[in-house]
Amino acid sequence: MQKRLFLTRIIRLAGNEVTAAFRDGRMILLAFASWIIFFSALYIGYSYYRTASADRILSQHQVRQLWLQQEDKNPHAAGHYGTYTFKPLSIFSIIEKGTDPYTGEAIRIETHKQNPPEVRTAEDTTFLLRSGEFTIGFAALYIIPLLIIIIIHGMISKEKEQGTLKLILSQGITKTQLLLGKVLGAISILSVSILPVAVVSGWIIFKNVSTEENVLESAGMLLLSYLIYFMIFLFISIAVSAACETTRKSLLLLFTFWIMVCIIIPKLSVFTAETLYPTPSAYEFTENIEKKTFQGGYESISHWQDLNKKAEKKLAEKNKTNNSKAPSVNVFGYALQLLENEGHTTYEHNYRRIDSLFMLQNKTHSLLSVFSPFTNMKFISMGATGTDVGEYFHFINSSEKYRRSMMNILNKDIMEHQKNKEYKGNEKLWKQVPDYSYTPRNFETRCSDYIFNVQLLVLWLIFSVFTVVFFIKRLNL
Amino acid sequence: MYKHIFAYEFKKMTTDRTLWILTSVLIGFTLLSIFNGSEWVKFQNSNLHKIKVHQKQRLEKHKKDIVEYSGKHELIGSEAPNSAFSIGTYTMLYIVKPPYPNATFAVGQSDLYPYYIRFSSIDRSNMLLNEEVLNPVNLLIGKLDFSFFTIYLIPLLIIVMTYDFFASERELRTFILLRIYYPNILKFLLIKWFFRVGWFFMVFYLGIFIALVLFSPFPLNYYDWSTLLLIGISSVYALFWFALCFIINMLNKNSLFNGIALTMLWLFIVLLLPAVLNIWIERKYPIPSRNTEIVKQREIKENTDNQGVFRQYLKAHPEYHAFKSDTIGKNVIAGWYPSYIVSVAVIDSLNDMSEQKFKNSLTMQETKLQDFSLISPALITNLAFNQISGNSYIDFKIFKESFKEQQSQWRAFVYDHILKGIPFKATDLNRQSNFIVYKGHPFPIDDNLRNLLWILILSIILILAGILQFKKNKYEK
Repeated sequence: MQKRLFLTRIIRLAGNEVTAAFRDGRMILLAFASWIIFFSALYIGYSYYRTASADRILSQHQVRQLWLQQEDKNPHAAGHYGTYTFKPLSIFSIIEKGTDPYTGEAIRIETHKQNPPEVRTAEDTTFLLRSGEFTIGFAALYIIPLLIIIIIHGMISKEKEQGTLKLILSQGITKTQLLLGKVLGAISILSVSILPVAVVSGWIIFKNVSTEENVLESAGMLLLSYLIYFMIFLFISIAVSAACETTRKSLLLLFTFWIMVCIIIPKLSVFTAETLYPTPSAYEFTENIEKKTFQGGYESISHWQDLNKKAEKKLAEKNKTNNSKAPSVNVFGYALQLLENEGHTTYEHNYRRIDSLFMLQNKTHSLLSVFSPFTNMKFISMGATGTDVGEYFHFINSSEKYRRSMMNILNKDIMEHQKNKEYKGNEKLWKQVPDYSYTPRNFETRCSDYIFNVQLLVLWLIFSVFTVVFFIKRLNL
Repeated sequence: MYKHIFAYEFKKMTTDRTLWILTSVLIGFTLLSIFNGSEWVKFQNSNLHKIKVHQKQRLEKHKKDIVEYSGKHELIGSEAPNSAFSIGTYTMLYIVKPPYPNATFAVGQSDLYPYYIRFSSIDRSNMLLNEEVLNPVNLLIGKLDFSFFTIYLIPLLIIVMTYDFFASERELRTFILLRIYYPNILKFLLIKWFFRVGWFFMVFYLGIFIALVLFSPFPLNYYDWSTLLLIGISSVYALFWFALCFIINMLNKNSLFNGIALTMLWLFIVLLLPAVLNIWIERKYPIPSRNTEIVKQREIKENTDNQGVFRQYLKAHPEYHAFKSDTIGKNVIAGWYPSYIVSVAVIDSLNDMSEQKFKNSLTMQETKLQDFSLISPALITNLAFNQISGNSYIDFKIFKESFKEQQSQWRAFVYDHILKGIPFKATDLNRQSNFIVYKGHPFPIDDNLRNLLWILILSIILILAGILQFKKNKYEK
C-alpha cells in the first residue's frame, strides 16, 4: 500500500511537471523546433551516407577493373601504376562523422612508397565546416544538453521563488519523491523531443545495414552512453536548480557549465595536447623517411646501383650453396624486393611514431575530460561508430598490408620470369593480386581504446547523482 | 550624473564579483588565444626556416657534386648529379607561403592546406605528406585562436555582462527608486549600458595590447592598418552583441527570458546558422566526387600513349627537331625518359582541367557564402578574420596557382635542356631559386570596410529600435 502511494506521488509529481511544461506554449514550440533540427540532421546524414557510401564502393570497383584491364607491361611499371584503396563508410556516419572529414578516404597504392590517406572532405568545403557539422551527433552533443538546461533550470528554483515548494513538501511528499518525480517529469518532457528521432534513426540504420555487419553492439553502446550523457546534464540541472535561490542564477550557472564543458574545455585540451606532445611537421616526416630510404634525391640512383650489386652478391651466394640447382632468380626483381623491405621498417617506424603521438594527444584529451562529459561522449561516440583516429590508422595499416602483398607478387613475378628488359606481365599476373577488402575493427577492439572514457562518463553520472541528492537533501523550507 | 551612475554600476558589479571575473576571463582568453595563434605562426616559420636552410645546403652540395663529376667524366650517365634524369626527377624546389603578419589572430584554413609545396619537373607535389601532421581530433575541435575567442566566446561574455542590466533593476525593485532620482530613465539606462560597453572595450584593448607585446612574432610597428581593421571588425562585432542585449532588455521581459532569448540567439547566429548554411551551400554548389576523379585520372594515365604524345609534342615544337636518339650531346638518356616527362606534363594539364571543376565549385561556395554572410555578423567576422590573416581558402587557392606557374617555368627550362641535349651545369641550379617565397595577395579592403560598416549600421539600428521600444513601454510617464 505504502509502495503504491510512493509511486503514485512520484507519477503525480511527474505528471504535474509535464502538464505545466506543455501548458506553456513555449515548450511545444521548443519540442517542435528540436524535431525540425533533429529530423533535418537525420535527413542530411542519411543522404550523405547513401551518396558517399555508394561513391566509395563504386570507386573501389572501378580501380579494380582498371587494374585488371591495364595493358601488358613490366610488373614494376604496374607497381608504379598501382591502385587505390577506399575506406568504406560506416553506417553510423548517418549520425556521426567524427574525424572522417579530416582523415582522408583513399590511399594510393604504389611501389616504393607508403602514401598517407588523401581526399579529405574538409579541404573541399568552406570554413563553415569548422563551426561543426550539422549531424545528429552534433545536435545530441550540443543542443540536447542545452534543451535539458532550458527545460530543467527552473524546476525547483521556480518552486522556491513562487513558494510552491513549501506547499508540495507540506503535503507529505518526501524529498526523495520530489527528486524522483522531477526526474521522471524531466525525462517525459525530453522524450517528446528525443524519442521520435532515436526511433527513426535506429530504424534507418537497421534498414540499411548489410547482413555481415554487426551494428547491434555499437548501437547499444551509443544509445546507452548518450543516455548517460543526457542524464548527467539532467541531474546537474536539477541539482543546480535546487541549489539556487533564483531561476535566474540557476540558468546563469547552467549556461556557464554548458559553455565550459562543451566549448571551452575541448579547445583547451587541444591546446594542452599539442603543447605537451607536438607532432613533427610534414617536412620533417618526409625528410626522416627519405633520408633512410634514399628517396627524393639523385643519391637514390647510386643507392639503387649499390642495391643491385648487393642483390647480385646475395644471389651468387645462394646459387653457390644450392649448387646452382635452383632456378635462376632475376637480379632486378630481387633488388626491387630488397628496396621494398628496406622501406618497410622506415615507414613503419615513422607512421608508428605519429600514431603514438596522436594517441598521447588523445590521452590528454581523455584526461582533461575529467572536467567535461562532452569530450568523453565525443570520444565514445567516435569509437562506437568507427569514425575515430584508431579506425584511421587501421585503414592505413590495412592498405599497407595490401600494398606489401601486391608488391611481393609483382616482384616475385619479375624474379621468376623476367629474362630481359622487354619482359611484360599480363592479365594473369594482375589477377593474382587480390581485390582490396577492408574489414573494420570489431566492436571490442574499437571500444578498448575508450574504456577510460566510459569509466569517466559513469563517474560523471555518479557525481551528478550525488550532487542532486546532496542539494535536494539540503533543500530548506 | 554620469559619475554617480558609473560609481553605482561599478559598486553593483564588483559586489558580486561579476566584473572582476569577467575582466579576468576577457584578459586571460585574449592572452591565451593570441599566444596560441602566435605558437602556430612560430611553428610555421620555424618549418620554413628549416626548409630554407636544408635547401641551401642541398643546393650547394648538388652544385659541388656537378662540378666534381664534370671534371671526371666525358659522358653524363644517368647516375650523374647533372644528368637529365637527376635534374628532371630529383631536383626539388619549394614554394612557400610564409604566415601573414596578422596570421597570429586567426589560424583559419592554414591547418588544412599546405603552406609549402615541394615540386620537381615530374611531380605535382612529391612530398610524402602535403598537409601538416595534425591529429584529426585536434582538427575537428579546432584551435583556440583569437578569431574563435572573438566569434564564439566574446558574445557569451557580453551576454553575461548585459543580459539583465535593465531587467534586474525591475526585479530587485530598485527601478522605482531610480526613477525618483533620475527623471530621464532612458538616459540612465543608456549610461548603465555604456558603462558595460566602455569597461569591455577598455579591458579588451588592454588584453590585445599586452598579448601583442608579449607574443607577437613581429615588432609592433610592423602592424599596419590591416591589424586595426581586424580589431575594428572585432569591436563592431562586440558592439553588435551589446546592441542585441540592449534591445532584448528593452523588451521589458524578465531576466530569465532575456537570458534564454540571448543564448538562443547566440546558438542560432554562431552555431546553427553557419552549420545550416554550409549544408545549403554544399547542396546548391555540390563538389564533384574526388573518388570519381581519381578513377578518371587513372584512366587517363593508363590510356595515354606516351610515345604518341611525345611525337605530337615534338611536332608542335620544331625547336626540338634535333632530338633523335637516346644520346643527345653528352647526355645519356634512358629511351623512355623524354616521352615520359612530356606525357607527365600533358597528363598534368588534363588533371588541372579536372581540378578546375573543384576549384570552381568551391569558389562558387565561397562567393555565395560572402553574399550570405550579411545575414550574420558572426559569418562576416569569421570571413574577415580569415581574409586579413591570409588564411582563407582563396589565399591558399592563389598560392597553389602560383605553384603551378613556378612549376611550368621549371619544366620548360628542364625540358629545353633535355630535348636540345644541353648538358646541365652547376650554375643552372641558380636559374630558379629552389626556395621560392610566395608574396601573397592583398585582401579585399573595400569588402571588409563595407562589412565593418554594415555591422556598425546593424548595431545602431538595434540600439535605435531598443530606444523606440523603451519609449513604447511609456516609462517616462
